[in-house]
Amino acid sequence: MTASLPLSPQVFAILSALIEERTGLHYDLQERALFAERVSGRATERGFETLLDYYYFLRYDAAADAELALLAEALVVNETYFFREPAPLEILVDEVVPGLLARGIKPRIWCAACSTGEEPLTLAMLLDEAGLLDQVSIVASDISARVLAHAQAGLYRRRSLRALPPRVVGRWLEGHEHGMRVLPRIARAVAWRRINLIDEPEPSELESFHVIICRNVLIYFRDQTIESVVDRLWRQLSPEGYLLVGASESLLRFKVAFACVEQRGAFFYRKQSK
Amino acid sequence: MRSASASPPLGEHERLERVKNLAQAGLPAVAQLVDELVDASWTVRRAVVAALATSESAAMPVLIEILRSSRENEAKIAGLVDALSATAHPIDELLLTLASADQVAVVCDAAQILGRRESTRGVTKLKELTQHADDNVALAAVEALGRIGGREALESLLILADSRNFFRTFPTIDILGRSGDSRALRTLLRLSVDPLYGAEAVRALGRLGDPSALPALLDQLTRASGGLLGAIAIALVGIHDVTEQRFGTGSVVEHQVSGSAKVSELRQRLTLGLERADAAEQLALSQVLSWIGEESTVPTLLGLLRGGPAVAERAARSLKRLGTVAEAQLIAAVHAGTSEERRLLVPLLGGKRSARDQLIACLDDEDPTVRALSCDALARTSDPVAVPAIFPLLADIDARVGQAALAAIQTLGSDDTRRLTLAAAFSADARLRRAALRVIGYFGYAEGLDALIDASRSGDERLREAALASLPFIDDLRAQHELLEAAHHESPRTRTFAVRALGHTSGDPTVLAQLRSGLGDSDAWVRYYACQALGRLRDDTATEQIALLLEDAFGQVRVAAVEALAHLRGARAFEILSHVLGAGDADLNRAALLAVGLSKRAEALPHLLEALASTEAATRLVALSALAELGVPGALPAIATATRDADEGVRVAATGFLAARSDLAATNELIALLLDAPTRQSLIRALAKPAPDRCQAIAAALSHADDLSAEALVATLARMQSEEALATLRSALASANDAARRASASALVALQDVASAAALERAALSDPDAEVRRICSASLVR
Repeated sequence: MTASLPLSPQVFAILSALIEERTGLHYDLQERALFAERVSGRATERGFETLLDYYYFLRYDAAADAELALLAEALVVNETYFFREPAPLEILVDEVVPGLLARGIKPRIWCAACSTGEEPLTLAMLLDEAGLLDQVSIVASDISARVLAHAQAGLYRRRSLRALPPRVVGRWLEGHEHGMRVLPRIARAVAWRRINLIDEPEPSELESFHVIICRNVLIYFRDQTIESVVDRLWRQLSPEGYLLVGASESLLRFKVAFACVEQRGAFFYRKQSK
Repeated sequence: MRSASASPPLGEHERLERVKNLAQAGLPAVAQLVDELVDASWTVRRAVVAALATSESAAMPVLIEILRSSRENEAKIAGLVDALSATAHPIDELLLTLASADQVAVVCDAAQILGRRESTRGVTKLKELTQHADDNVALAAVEALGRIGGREALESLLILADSRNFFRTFPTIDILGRSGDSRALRTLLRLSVDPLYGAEAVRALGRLGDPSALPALLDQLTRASGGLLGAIAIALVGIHDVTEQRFGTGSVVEHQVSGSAKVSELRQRLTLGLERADAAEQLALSQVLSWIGEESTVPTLLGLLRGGPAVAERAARSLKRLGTVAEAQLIAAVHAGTSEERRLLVPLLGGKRSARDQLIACLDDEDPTVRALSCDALARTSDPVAVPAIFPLLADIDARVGQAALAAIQTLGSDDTRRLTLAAAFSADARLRRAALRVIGYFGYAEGLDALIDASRSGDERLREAALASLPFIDDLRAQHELLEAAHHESPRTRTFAVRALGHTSGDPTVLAQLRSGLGDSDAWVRYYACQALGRLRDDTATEQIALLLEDAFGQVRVAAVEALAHLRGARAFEILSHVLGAGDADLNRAALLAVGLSKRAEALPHLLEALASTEAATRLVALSALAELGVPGALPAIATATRDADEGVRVAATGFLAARSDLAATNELIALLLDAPTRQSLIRALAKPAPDRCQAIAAALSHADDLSAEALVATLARMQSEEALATLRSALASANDAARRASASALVALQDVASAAALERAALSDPDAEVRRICSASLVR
């Protein structure tokens, strides 16, 4: 679409391997043109004239980690919106959370790879509607500090608001010059963290969760990476905790200790012991 | 209560270990190993199947006996069938005996295994089984014969299809369609008009992909109704796709449809079919309508753009094919469309001047992707009237849009561009100003020099960078002077940009001296670009200084030193590079491999061949590129071997390097590879690139090729689209080799080669081979 910097097969091989190693994002040879286009945008923005120079920057420079986060953001489609596929979230709010509360447990929910935050904020709104928001702890994370800053600011344009149910505006969203703003008490109900799903977490970084939501992320990973990320999520879940992945992201072909369970037409993966 | 003696269940890892131990125990443990096929884990079961398939030959009768006598567990049976299908031991005789067993289920398994093993020895028995009293056995035999293929298997399938026994004819039609064997054509055509089997036979004709079926299908289309309309459209598209894949063009299909004497009836029927069609049928019907140039199909195609990536891609192709017929509706759809719809529609209007105003309107879309796509589409109109509208997008909040706008403006040029750029070069909007500075450099606007100098002295670092990047492209000594000044700037980034820009100058002694001084800069990126620039400017006097940087603390500097030495090419530089090969740092090693390739020295060959055996695919790929660059005779066999590398990237690159060579040796390597793997499309594409003597070499190979190879060789000639290639195809029609005549006849019919009309007509009447006569008769029908 935009003018891409030239990308030889050799540079594609080393650059895509480096990006996969650091972010998990996998690109096949057939996707070389798309990859070149997306990476070129960042490389040019950063002031590089060739993708080989940019590769060496990512490989050797001290600022590479921050740049990789921005690159990951450019590579994936941060195309999310409020109340996107809400059914599983509603089941969490109607059934899973009350069940945990009834057992005297304060539910902890992690929205992994939350992008600009529409999903955890939707969850917060649903919990608020059910009168449960202050009884639940929500953590939302992404690899990119920039998108997290966006989420914390709580300002959204029309594209993020395209599936809003009528009851939402005025109750949790208020008009703003450029679109809508999420009420601060909703945005504050979420703890925002910068986390790369590929990295091993620091022991103190995250506690265990009763529910992990990780939707539309695994599609970017190769099978081996999916297994390792899902294994990490498994370790972050409390016994019999719930993992929610995207509708097109089945884990059935992987050797993972989860049982697939159906609740009201939505599918969850329930943690099993190994 | 748990028994005290019960041991805990084994984990998967332990169970896999047990499978390994049982496999090592050999024949005595085979029955035990078979029992492991009921394990709950798929991984364990796969390991058992692999162990059984590779167990000693004496184990095979044991496995077959278990399969015959122990039928209580489905998982066990499935595992045994898999293992016996995969084993390399000669077990055909045992299987033929098994296929005579009393139990129907056992016979079915035997038939399946014979098919999966593609056992030609099993054909006679399988033919017999197609007449078995039990339909399941007959079906298993039919499927097995389909897998085995070949003349004898096909003939039995043709007889079976004509038997009109519902439970046997139906699956046989499907198998015939998938056979790819044009001898199935007549039978399928006969069945296509049968009320019971018609739709299934039509689908099979589409899968078969033989254009000879077109007249009959088109005739049937004028009378068809209901679901058959969709089935025929799908078949027409199928034939189109197969022909396109074989010969690089499906135009014979498009032309037969659009040139049909009954085109108005066809149009009416196809449009009627759209009303009740499902999504797949709608797509096919619309595609066929687009060949006719039918405007009324546009709304359907527009709707299909929302139907998922594969459907949308085909619908877009059809809309493109409709061209100007669809233009007005496309423009209206863009006008009324949402951002999502515009994402799909705007690319279809790329280059259309009539859509200019609507595309300009899309520059204001709230979706940045639409804005960027609109810039791209406007750039392709080559209409500079759009420049003033695109210009403000240089300052777009979304970087991708800014990039697209910049690319569009660079493509479109114009006096407006000059005026707007020079004005924007002093804009208060930093983003717009930076973009304008880049445009000044791109077009080399000499009047923009003052703006560049002003910006290169700005307090804004990014502005300085944009100005410095453009300065080397202004033909004025003041520009070079400014860069030399900036190379001493206190900001490392500014020095970096200045040094990099100096590398783009002509490299007079002052510049070279400054660059050599840059090799000792405190900032790694300044040293990096100083190396790069000195290499590019071929400053041999810097060789030793650059060599010292091979020990630099920063990886990027070490790599840049290697790359610079590669460009210097002196004997000393090569000697230094040879020492770097095999370095622990993979990047350094790869850079050295490329460097020795660039040196074009024969001494580099052993280093590169060694690197081709690396366990890292990226290193093999770099070594391969270097070998190709080296261009010495010993490189060719290694490149040919790399076309079979385990890594796809290496394989594709190796094929590409062979294709890029125009010498006869490379052509012969490609032909040898193609004869070895006639279905590999990448090889067909590679060999289809014109090169001296290539047609002659292909003609020589055609003279003794079998059917499959002849088809592949002919496909390369058809895709060349040159007069020489056509002449070679025409000559092949007179070859003594039946396979060459069959393949070339198919190609000449598909290419609608007018000059061959008389020869095809003669062949249709008098060729000694019936298949050639049949293929050529299709051209007579038209």
